[in-house]
Amino acid sequence: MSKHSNKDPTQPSQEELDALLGSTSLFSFQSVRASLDRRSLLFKRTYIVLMAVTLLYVMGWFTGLVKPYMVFAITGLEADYQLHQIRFLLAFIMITIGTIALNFDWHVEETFSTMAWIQVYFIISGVGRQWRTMSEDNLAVIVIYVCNLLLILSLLVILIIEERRLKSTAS
Amino acid sequence: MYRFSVTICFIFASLVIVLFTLIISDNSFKPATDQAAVLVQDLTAIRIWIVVAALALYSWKSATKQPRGQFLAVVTAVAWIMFLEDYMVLDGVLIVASQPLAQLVILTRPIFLVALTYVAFKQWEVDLI
Repeated sequence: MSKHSNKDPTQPSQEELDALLGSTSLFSFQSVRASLDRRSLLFKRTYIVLMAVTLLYVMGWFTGLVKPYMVFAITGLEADYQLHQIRFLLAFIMITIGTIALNFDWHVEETFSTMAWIQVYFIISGVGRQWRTMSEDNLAVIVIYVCNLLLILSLLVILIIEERRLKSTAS
Repeated sequence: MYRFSVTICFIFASLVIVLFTLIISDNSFKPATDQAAVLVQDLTAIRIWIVVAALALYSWKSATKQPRGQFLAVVTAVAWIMFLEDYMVLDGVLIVASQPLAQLVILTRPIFLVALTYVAFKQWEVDLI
């Protein structure tokens, strides 16, 4: 008799348990590359651009190249610097969550949609604050700030649209 | 439990709207510093519209029985981010006064966040089923 066999008909066998666990999406770990390969070329390229923008930003930040263009460099408010740091950290957390969602292929569209709406909140609250605080001489800084955030938002929107397209063609 | 949590969220949102209206209209809310005065004006002007829009959208989606798991997930994430921003940067701003209403909002905020998170998770389950 096999050691995996089960005499009790009410208890699931080991094979049944394996089949149940295998079908659960939580355990369907795959690499990001495999997940990207299943998607369109546009999705893949957009995701790579998003990662590249993040990487460039980190490099620019730690080398000090982007600091003169930051809002706190002009307003001189400590709160602006702290807000920037928090939002920077949150953006990294969101990218990590997005990558995990891709890894597990789990609610990718919903994850990126949530990230996009949070980005909208960052844009509205950031621009609203600067509009009231900054002088007209520093309008260029607001424009650069908005362009940066809109670039990231548009990348996220492309990812959402492509994921939705993949879902609709799969179903 | 779901309805109770939704009620908590609505009560908190109402308190926030009343508080922000008072901050804008009443001169008795004095922030500690000039910097805080600038920030509190900016934040209240933006956030009050976010709260009003979220309440209106949730009510409309509930009334028309549309799926709202995604919407609640976004609202929950933004609420936690606002809390984080306030706690780490703006604690000297939002804790502006010894006004009873301001203290009530500060005290009930963690309860609201827990309730909202519960509602979001529960709604997500409902939408998936």
